[in-house]
Amino acid sequence: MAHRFLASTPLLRTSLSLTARARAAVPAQYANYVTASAVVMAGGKAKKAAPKIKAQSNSFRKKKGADDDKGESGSGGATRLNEKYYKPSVPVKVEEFLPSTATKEHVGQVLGFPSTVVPALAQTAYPTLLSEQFELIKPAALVVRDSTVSFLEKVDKAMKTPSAQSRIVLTGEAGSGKSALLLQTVSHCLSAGWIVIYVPKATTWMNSSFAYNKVANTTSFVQPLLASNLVGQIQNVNKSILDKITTSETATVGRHEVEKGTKLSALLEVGVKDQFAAQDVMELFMKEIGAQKDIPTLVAVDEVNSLFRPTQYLSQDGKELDPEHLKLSKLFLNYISGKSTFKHGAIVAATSDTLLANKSEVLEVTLGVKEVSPYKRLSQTILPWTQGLTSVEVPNYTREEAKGVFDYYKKANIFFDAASEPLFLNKFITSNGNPRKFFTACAKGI
Amino acid sequence: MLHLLGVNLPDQKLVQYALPLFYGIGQKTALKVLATLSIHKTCKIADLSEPQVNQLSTLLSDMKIESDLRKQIRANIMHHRSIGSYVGRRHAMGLPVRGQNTKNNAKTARRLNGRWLKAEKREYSSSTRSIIPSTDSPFESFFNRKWF
Repeated sequence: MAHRFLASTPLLRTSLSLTARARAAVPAQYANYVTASAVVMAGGKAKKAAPKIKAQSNSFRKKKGADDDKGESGSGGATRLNEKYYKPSVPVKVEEFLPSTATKEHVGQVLGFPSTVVPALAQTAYPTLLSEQFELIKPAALVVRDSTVSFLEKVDKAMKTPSAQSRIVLTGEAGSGKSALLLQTVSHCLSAGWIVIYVPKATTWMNSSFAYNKVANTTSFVQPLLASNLVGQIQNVNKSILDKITTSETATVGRHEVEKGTKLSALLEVGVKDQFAAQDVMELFMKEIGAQKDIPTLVAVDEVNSLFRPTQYLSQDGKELDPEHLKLSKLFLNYISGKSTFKHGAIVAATSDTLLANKSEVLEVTLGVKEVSPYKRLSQTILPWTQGLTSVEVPNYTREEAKGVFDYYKKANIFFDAASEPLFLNKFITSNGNPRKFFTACAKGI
Repeated sequence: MLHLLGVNLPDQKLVQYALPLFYGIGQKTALKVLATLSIHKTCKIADLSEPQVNQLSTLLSDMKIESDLRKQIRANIMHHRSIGSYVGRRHAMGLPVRGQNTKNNAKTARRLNGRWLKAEKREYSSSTRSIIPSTDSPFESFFNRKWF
């Protein structure tokens, strides 16, 4: 948003202080007494200190329009933006991003998430920096890129193959559109009727923000509340599809017995209600959806680099736990590394450069993104989990894609200069086509 | 407000930063306690369950903290005093103990060093002081008395 602040108020005229004036008016021997004149002058000064009408510069007035004078000054509340000075963006009408519209003809067009998909995505929350963009410009929409089209073709091919053969990690520089591409994949698969397990922030699993308990006689730890939350999210995202699949045999989850033929949505309900059974529910659920061939499964994990470095949890000895010691993370790592597989499905993950502390050197070296000295010893406990991953690099915008996004930003009214070729070139070249930098250049003028 | 072993722990404080409120627990020991009890770092005092609070209480009571620790420290310094060592004398005079220079810069020592012995003296009331014979030599009792 173009943040425009009010021009600075003119400085108040420096005047004699109250005491100076009092001293001038009153004889020396009465200098310490409170005189009537002092009281009157104090009252006068208070009136003078009342807020002056702030001068507004002309350029602001022109852009805001006629209703400026009518409107009251912005409502209180520290978090709400003052409507007088911050203009909200205009919602833009966009077509839906469907499997039929994610084609080469639509490259450069900004398409919104379909109405069937939006409630599902609302369950899991968007990635952090993308959500800021979506807050600004409603409805949430992403541009169709060349990389989107080619990647979705790849994912569609994976529909009929085991997930162990399609374990892809999206890599690229910071702000190049990895999380956005992952979101588009999730939307595509939801529209196509896959079972989708979307984890927008894997970092929250590892940063010691959820309670954890040791499992007796093992070196593993369970995160009951986290597992329960995840089970609830999966249930809400895939409600209708999960009614079609049933369990293949009787099983025990925690303190509950699950009979053969229970619908998977009912199984997940057990995990939602009893957080201490949630881990077992999750494991059984993944086994069941992996065993059936009718409906493919997509596991989409963002910020996957946090799964390949030591967590912030501590073992009872005070040492940092590895992700394989946390049962939920280990479950996902099994599928990501190919140790467990869905009969039909794909695993897509995206790295994140958001926090430098969360970077995983092991992952970057194995994917070939980074080179380190051969003498550097990589973690031997984490290295085996990174074998067999394919890396797909997400490039910066091409000119065509950037043009489409630029037109969209103009329609959404997040910048007020006239949309011209020189302006577009300015933004495109200064940001080098990097999507995040391009957005910042357009929205904040930097 | 969780009242544990004589210390009030505010509910909204993270356990990691509430434990150092105990005398004898610093940041490292607090983390060790969290690790032993498998409490996550963003856990607040209000989030602790009843069994966790009991475990915490048991663990802390096994450690030397609060009054036990203070007694030990006092006893150590009193030991030096009673055997008449240099260390004891320096504590008594409120001067640096470990061989620091006093020409300039002995401010912290002057402020802090006498306090364990004063606490010891405060424990014995003034009525008993005259009965118990002083262990100081006349020279030292001259210096140790509060003249003004």
